[in-house]
Amino acid sequence: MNYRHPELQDRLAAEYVLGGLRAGARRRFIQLMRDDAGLRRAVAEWEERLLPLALALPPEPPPAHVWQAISARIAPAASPAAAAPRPSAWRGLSWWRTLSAGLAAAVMVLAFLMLKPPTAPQDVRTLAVLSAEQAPGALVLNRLPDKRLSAQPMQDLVALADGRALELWAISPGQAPRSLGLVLPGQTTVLTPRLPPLPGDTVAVTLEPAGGAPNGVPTGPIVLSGKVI
Amino acid sequence: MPDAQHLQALLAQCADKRESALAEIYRLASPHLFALARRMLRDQAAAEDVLQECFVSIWRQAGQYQAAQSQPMTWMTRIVRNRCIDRLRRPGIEVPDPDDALTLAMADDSPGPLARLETSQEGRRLADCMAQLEGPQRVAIAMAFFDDLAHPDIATRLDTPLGTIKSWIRRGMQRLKRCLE
Repeated sequence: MNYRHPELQDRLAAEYVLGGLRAGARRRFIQLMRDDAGLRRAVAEWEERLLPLALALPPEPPPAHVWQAISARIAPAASPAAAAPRPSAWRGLSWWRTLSAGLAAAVMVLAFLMLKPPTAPQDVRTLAVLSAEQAPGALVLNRLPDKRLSAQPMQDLVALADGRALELWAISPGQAPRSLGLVLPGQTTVLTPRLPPLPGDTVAVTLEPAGGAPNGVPTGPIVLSGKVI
Repeated sequence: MPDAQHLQALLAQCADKRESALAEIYRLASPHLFALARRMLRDQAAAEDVLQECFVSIWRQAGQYQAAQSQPMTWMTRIVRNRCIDRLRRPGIEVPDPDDALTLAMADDSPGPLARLETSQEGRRLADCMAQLEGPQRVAIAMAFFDDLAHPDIATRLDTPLGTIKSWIRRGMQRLKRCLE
């Protein structure tokens, strides 16, 4: 058979994309594809035609633990966000030093992002993913179409809260933390902060007394943190 | 359905290792990709495994994604579908029988899976073109696509000679191609 014949290539590509090539035939076809740009193009065209068929299925949100597993696998090994929370870090200036390295990186990323073409407007945008070493991707912070925020726990945060209130903070480079509000441990919370988190901000969750930090200044340990894209 | 330009921008951010970009892709696309994996594998735990593997692949390969060559949703669907196929065709693996309700519903001219496809931007033209095929052609194509059934298995399920199934699929695919041009 002459595999370079366009009609045959097109027919085989259609069969391959639909799944009709089995066992040895499929393996041989994948081998041929590696060396033949025409065949790869025919396959790409068939994929573009046929794969949207998947959208005929009713969408099904996967269970929360799937995202946690993904988040744990993609997290950088030694990111500041994944570092174990240390209550003592709040005392003195060491906490700010820990942050400043991350902030410098955030500023560079911000500069980079500003060079990118603007993305299409969307109903809901993910602003940040907050993690701890034992709880990767535990809380997702979204911006709603009406500009309010939603804090969506990706796992039950009751154990993490340990009976205390979870308070969410945004920290802009060189400024004091500002409270975004209290977050419920078991359900999505909608927040209406006066000044929403900005690109390059660090966002963090601390453990506070019931009702939140008494003087608008964080008092408890950081249990989750992340960066705003 | 996720906007293609938005997904492209997010994939570019994944290539720069922005975890929150992957989180948003996941929020937008995972319900569709998970439905496909569930349907093909007919097993909840296996579908969860595949989805996890695929999103780690999407994260790692985001830098290789080329917008000029495929739509982002097509690219991600291909990753999921190929992984499901690899898993289904492992020697000795036992897969429960597919539920024929969805694929047989493809034969109807009344609203069904095609109506759902029609509502998505990417699926609209495909739904129109699928609607122009004859019912049995649609069913045979759907059984190959969603259930990864080989032609002889489709012939058994539809109690139709193998040669007829092959020609339904071949002609159906050619008609789809002409219609989508």
